[in-house]
Amino acid sequence: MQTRSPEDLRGGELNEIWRFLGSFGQDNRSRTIKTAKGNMVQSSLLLNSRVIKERVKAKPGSFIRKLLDQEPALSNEKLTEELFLSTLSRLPTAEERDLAVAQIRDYRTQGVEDLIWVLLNKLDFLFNY
Amino acid sequence: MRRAELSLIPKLSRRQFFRVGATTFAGYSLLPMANPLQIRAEKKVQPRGSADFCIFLFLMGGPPQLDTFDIKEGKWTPPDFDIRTITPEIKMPVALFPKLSQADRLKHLLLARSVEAWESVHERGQYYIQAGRAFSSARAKEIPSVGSLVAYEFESRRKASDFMPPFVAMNFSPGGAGLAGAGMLPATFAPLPIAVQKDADFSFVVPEEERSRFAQRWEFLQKMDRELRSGKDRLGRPLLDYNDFYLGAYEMMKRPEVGKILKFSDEEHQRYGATSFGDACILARNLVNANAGARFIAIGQDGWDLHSSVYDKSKTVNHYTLCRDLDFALGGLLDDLSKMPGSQGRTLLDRTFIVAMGEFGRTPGDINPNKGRDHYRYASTSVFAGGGVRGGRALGATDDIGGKVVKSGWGEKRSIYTEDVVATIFSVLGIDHSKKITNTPSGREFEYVETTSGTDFVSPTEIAELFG
Repeated sequence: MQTRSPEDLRGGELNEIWRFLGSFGQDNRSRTIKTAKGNMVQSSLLLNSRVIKERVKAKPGSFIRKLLDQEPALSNEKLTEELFLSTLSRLPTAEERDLAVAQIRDYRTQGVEDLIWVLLNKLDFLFNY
Repeated sequence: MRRAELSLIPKLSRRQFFRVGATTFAGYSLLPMANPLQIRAEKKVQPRGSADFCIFLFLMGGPPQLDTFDIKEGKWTPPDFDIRTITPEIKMPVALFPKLSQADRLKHLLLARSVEAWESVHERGQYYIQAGRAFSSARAKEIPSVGSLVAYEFESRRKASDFMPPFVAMNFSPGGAGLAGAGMLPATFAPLPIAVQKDADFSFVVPEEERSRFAQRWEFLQKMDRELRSGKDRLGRPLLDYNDFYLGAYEMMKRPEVGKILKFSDEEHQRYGATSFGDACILARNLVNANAGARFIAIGQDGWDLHSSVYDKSKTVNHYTLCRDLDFALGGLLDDLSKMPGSQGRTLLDRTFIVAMGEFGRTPGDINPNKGRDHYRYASTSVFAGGGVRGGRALGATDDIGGKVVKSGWGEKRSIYTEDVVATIFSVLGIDHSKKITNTPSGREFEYVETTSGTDFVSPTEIAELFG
């Protein structure tokens, strides 16, 4: 898909996406800080922006919701693998799998939301994806 | 499948890591962390230490000295400037600066009129003012900006309860030069760039109802990402730097007080001029008042580069709007900081060094055929306040058209250069400006204040005459 100009994203709910992209240098070139280095604003947006918070919610029709609603139900291990593949394009390590499964075992929906939030905040998402 | 086949980041043994680290670029940039910086002071300098904070208002583009704080009247002067003599040595365009020309505010301001820049193009000039030295493509990667050096020097004075980063840059993205960062220093001393927008919810503020889940998610992330954040990966410093950004952000986000710092009322928004520049000044006031670790706060006011139609009020940005915005923002800062208690029984203004300057001045005398003013490095005015500055005075003088420094007005027989301003910032904050870092990545010594910049050898020194 053609990336829209950040200037088209001004106003309303799109403002949030514009700010998100802007922090990563995707913006009007005369206004944006020219550096490939990261900064704390990027980290804070990945941790706590509406852009991310809304995307990790198991809303009707969302990718996560579909995974959770599959019949027959996916095992916790399989669910973890699907989430890793869809975010980091790789399978979890044994250690990661154990941690993730422990997280989604008891509260599945909430656990899956937390897991995908963590995957988007893992450094390999930024550096490898 | 085993991890080694899956991960795109190969796992290295400790031994391999060090071998790679010694030869790759990432390993190279790890040097300053592996070996602590070696710093020595050249000569015995007694820093003044009269301030705890510095607010640097960067008037980007270069304001016209002769139409602002070094007013010169001529056929170019619009009749509605309302120029009045306030003190024997200070005339002010009262219509442009209705707040700053008032005696109770002007008494805080020192107008240094003998300032010269070394550069005449924005990119180089804006770099110069941030780094305190000429741009060198060979060294730019390792040169820390003045703000980052201040941050580094304040590390030992940081309280355990401090949660704001030491260097904050607001509304500050110089067009050409970009925001100068930490260079060879660790990423923790890089500026925190905040784009201030009214009503934008700052991502650093975690809503009350989300705090407990946020804390849980954070713990989960630390477990899941332990490996990559431990620095054992071959990518080395970039990952560690990024982890530092995460840690710095989390340090703020876990504190509910951040919400109060990054917040201002409608009344304040109006009083500071209802601009993003003014809003940034409110946040600067909040930052110094919170005393939560932020020491060097740089704020940009863009738009001064008026090559044409400088006095044309029909333009969205013109000389009148720029002066008004500065008048409100700086006026608001002076009003509020002078009423707030600072350390050592002084006001917060007494303990906050405020500098307002551009990267250079503008062409003197009559306006150009496009009714504007062009870049001019031989004369400009820098405004100083707080941190022990004895205000209500002008220092130095230019000729009748504001084009040539005719009186230096301070201890040196030459004009004031960027290096002297930087030396003064260091001194006021209690930092020995004669220090040098001897083990830089390039091997060349790094002087806190460069003595061989510009077009002449100068011996930079603090501008002692600013202080009472």
